[in-house]
Amino acid sequence: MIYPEVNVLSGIPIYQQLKNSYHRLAALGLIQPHEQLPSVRQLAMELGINPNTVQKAYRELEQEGLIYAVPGRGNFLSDSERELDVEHEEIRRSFRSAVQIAWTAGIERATLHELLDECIDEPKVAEPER
Amino acid sequence: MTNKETVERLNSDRVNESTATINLPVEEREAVIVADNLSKYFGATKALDKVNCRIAGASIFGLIGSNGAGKSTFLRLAAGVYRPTEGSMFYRGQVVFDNPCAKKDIVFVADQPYFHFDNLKKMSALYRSLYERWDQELYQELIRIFPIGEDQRLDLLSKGMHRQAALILAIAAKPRLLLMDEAFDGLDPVMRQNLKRILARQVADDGMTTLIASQNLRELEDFCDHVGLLHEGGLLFVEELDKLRLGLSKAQIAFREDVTAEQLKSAGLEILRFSARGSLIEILSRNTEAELRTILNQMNPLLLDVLPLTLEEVFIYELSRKSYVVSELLA
Amino acid sequence: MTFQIQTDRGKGGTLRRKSGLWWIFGRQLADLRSLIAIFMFLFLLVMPIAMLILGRDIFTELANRHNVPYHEADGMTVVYYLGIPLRFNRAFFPFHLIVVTLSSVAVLVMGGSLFRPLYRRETVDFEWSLPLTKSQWFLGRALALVVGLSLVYLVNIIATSGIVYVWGLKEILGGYLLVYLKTYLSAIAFTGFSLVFFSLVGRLFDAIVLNIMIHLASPLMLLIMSNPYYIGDIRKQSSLHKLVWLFAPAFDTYREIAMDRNFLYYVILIVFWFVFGWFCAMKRPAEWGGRKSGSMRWFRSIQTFFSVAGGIIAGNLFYAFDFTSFQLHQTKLLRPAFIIGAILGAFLGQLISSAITGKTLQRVPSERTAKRRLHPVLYEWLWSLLGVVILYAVELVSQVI
Repeated sequence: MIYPEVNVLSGIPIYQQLKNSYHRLAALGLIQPHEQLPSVRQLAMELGINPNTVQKAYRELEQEGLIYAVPGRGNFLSDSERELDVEHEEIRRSFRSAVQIAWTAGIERATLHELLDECIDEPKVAEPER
Repeated sequence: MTNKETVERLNSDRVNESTATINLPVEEREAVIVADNLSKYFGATKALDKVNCRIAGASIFGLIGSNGAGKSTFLRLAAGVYRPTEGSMFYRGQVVFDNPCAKKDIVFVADQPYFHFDNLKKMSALYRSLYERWDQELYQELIRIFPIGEDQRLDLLSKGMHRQAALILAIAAKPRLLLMDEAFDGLDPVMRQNLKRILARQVADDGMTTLIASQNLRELEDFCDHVGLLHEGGLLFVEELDKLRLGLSKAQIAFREDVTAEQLKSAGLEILRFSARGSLIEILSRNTEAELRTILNQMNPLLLDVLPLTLEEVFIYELSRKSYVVSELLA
Repeated sequence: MTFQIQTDRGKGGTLRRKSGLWWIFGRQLADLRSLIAIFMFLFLLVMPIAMLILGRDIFTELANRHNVPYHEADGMTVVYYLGIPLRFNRAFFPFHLIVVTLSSVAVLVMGGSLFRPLYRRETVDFEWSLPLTKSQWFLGRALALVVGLSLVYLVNIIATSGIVYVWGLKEILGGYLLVYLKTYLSAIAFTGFSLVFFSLVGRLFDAIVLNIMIHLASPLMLLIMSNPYYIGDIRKQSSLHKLVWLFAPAFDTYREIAMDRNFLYYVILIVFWFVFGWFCAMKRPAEWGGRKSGSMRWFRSIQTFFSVAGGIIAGNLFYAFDFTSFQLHQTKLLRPAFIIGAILGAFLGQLISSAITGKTLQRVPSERTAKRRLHPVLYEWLWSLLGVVILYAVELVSQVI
């Protein structure tokens, strides 16, 4: 089972980090549609975070349609096309801000492409821990 | 014991998966603690003054304040040690003071724990004979996770070890409400993480409500869902932690020419704090990160770094909005 | 409410639990066991073991020589039991006095050990957050103290009776058993009296010192107030004397040997002090632990007592040195020597009690006291003055009686 990553020192709300992380894991295909996500208890214990925070992240992910809940069994990743759009939009947003930063720093298009390729080749992104 | 082993142990042991549900948002749950116009005076000193607050079930509530803000007094009132001077402290609708019915569900870990006996074996027997929900299995597990032997002399241990011993006993008593004064104080990072894991499990499995008091915001910011700020006996605000941070951003920027706060404001930013060191400017603004980036990028900055926002900064902002002298509070 | 809580795993819940009171009582008695053993040994040492050391022959001779009925001239009354005069054998006298002394020490030491947790913040936090009531804590402690003391008394008298019986002196036992029983009851009354102090003060030191001070002040006052010719007559029984003796129950225990009291007296006394102690314990807030008693409100009323005692003692002392006063046939209360002594003594008494319990006359430069700068000093004087007023009332009453 894949666990999302959380950095408690980043200053970003933890439920937000959980959500982002799941969006990323789903977009990268590291979680398959209809695959079960860790339970609130498991995730909270594994990461040493507040179960209510996990619950909140799951609730919002469910509202966004990325996951669905089966009462008594847990949370599962959904597979609707719309969700993929959400993913793409997420990624596009990240790229956009990166491009903006690059642009202000005076980095050229070619360098930017190189940087992106480098990022993709970084083992950390390709296979997130667990 | 390594972290990994601990995690595995915590995960593997219980076959009986959680039957507790924490599906409801915290705000919609039944309140476990209700302070109704709660005041506590010591002679002429007002340790707590007309505090109103409700703490929902299965939540992890952080009570923050400097020395003498009234945190310990609030905890002692919740534990039924003090009788309120005015107002009431309720646990699930029952007055707490001198009421064993309420107190059997509550365990209080004081800032200076006291042990009636000098080893955990005898202490656990004492707790077992008093708390109906005492879980011997959980206790055995806890003494394996925390490095304290059952027969070790407690009076010879350090402050941090004392706290761990107190926490072992408190958690194994399986309280429905756990009160902790400066809980993470004196714990090393590994133990801190272990404690968080155990508490997380008790909250998820058992619906335990946790109230942690601390002077240190950082201790609580990654673990609580709600925080309350006490200052000079008054509860300044109670807020969901995530909501506090929302809509506030901090950034480090630099421009080719000098830029004033007014210029940034006219560009559409709601500047809360502006400090310039040479050409390097640091701002705190009441805008989302996206807004901040869009607006600032239009001004062609040389440098634009969005910085993580600590809870401390959020509090400073929240307090300055309520016109309190901030330096006094968080010094 | 949809929020569910997992039910108990059952392991802890199946244990049968004692009621809170018995839990505390058992706990306290267990904590007290070493002290009980020590006092048990000391009691045995000063009575049966001392008798054994003395030897059968000497004790028998002492017992036979002094086996006479007491009468007024001896300073003893005949002890009646069911209308029959009982002979209290004076062979027991020295042993008895040491036992009584030990018994008061035992009450203070064992009580102090039981009530010490009330005076520390950590222990108060621990005890009061447990699922038990204040009432249970007080009763559990009081019961443990009474049971501990009773055990000590019981073992002692069983051993003593055994020796006396074996020595073939059982006819002297009857009178003594009754005295012993009354002494025991009186010691229990003193226990109740001490419970009041244990429940009132903020520090163990204050509890014991206040207890001792009141004990010292009461009989001293009585002796000086009494006609000098009668000094030493510990049986003097005016209502005022009876009243003052109530505030010296530990010393009263010594008098049981010479008193012919109804058992109802002890019952009333014991019930009164225990109920009063319980009342004080219930009113006692947790935050009193470690606080100086001088800063507590109830202390003012006790301070008046110290003023009265100091006033009476010093006033009478000054009056005794004023030789002209005898010739004038003027009432004592109007003599300058007495008045000066009384006021001086009242203030001294006030000062002593303040010093002991940590309330000083120093000005505390706080926001609160800044407004009324003279207050603390003025207060002391006002209360001393009240003490003198009460003193006059007491003296007047005592002269009328």
